[in-house]
Amino acid sequence: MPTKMRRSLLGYLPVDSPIFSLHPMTRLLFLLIVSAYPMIVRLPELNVAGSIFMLALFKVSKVDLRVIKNYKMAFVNLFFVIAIAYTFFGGYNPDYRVLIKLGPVKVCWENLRWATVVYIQLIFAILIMIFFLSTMRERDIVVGLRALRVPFVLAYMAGLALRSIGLSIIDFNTIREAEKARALDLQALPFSEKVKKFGMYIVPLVALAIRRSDEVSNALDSRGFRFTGLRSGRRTDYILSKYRMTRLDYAVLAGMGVFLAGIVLISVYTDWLALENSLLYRI
Amino acid sequence: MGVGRGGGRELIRVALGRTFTSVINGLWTVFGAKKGPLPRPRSRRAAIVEGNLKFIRPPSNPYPIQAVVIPMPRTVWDREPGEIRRPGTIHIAIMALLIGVGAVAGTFGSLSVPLGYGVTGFWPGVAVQAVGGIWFGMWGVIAGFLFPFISNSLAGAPLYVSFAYLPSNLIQGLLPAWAFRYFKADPSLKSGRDWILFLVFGVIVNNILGAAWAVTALQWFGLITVESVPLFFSGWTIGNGVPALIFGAILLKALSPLVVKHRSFVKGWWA
Repeated sequence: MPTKMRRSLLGYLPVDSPIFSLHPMTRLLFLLIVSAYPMIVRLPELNVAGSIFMLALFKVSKVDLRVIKNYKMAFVNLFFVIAIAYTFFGGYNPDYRVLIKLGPVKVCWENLRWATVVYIQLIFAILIMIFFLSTMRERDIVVGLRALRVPFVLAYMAGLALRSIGLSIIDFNTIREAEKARALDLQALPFSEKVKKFGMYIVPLVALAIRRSDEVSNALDSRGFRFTGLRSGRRTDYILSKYRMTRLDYAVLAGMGVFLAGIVLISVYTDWLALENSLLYRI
Repeated sequence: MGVGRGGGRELIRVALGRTFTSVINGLWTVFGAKKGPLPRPRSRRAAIVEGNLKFIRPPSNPYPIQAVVIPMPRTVWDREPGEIRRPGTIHIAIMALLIGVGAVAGTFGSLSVPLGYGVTGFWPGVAVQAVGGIWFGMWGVIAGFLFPFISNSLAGAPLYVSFAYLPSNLIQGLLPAWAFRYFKADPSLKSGRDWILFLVFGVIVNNILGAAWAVTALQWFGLITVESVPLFFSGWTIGNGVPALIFGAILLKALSPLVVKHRSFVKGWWA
């Protein structure tokens, strides 16, 4: 029997995924709180542990790991950018240990070590972002914001903005199909022309967005909404009433909060998380 | 004028002379418009509609010319008499939809020529920032600094890097929006002065300031070295400047005549 799936911002997720037992607000706060970890901690061992934890979370949440493959090029590109930035533009100090000399360029161990630290740190941060996008829907983000008591206008705008990404992609595909119907062979175009072509799609996309804004605005006005909210006053937030915060949510939130506070306090008052304690700095 | 050698040189001389004159005129009007008198009217239409006075020549009796005081907006930014402008649902809608368009354009740009950390060698999203700010005021500016969050995230940039770029994205939308309102430039880029304002504030200065902040933030986070700052700075400036010039100009020329008549157009900052 085929598994029932739900569409997320980045793909599909089985309906029975354990992540759906968490309130959308908890999942939204997960992004905000956990994203702070790699920003504060530079120690590569901890960031590797964080990345492994994230991969485990992907598995537990039944997220298709192929979604990470879509970011393969981003990871590879990041690696090359960091490597080039830190080897050719890494600077030189007489104390540095030179590994290779390529003409005037000296590839030093200290620069490579720093590049490795930064790369591992970024991988952890990117995995957090991919996990968030793979497990959240547009509706979840709106519910999360409403649960956080964000004003209606902001929550509505966030929801409409996320929905309009999908609409823009549909418009984009329509424009491309129209071009194909007029015998444009995108495959045959050189890379520079492809890039230029993709950029040019902005013009019809913006024109369609302006036209659509009229429809959206008229729909809002006809339903009695105005700039500051509902004309008739308060109304039950129907979608929000479908979700309940459970003990699991409180436990997860408390865990994340305590962990973040712990990291901040340890970083401020001790040197346990200092880079000098890393294995890389003992080589 | 002949088509021979001399004629060709004359054509080039005239063309260069006109370009030079329009550039000088543009520069003078940008920096001297506030002090000097109004520029001399060039056309008959401009001659009869000047300031708040409209000179009407009745068709039946051509003499004498009647002077009727009709307050007329001199630029697209001036309000009509009795015009009331308030923010409304249309502005919320246009902001949200701009975020969507910008996110799509920005994501494709971030993935096309990536330089790392969301910096790209070609980012068409900047055109949406500049043009959005010019057309829709603060709504466009807000959309312009929110959509890179989505596009950078989809392209694989960490959340805190996207946060670090917030001021850059704010400047890139805010500066052209301010310049067009302050100098009362026409968004349809009708004169040399409008072009110069767009080039200076919508292509060059805003992207230089944005790049300066972005590389400072990246360096502060320890993601790039001081030596690699010029690489990322030039990548950001060129990667944003070229699409801002090409797509921004196309968008302004193609859609401004429609947008300024649309109810979503913002003459002030919010309405």
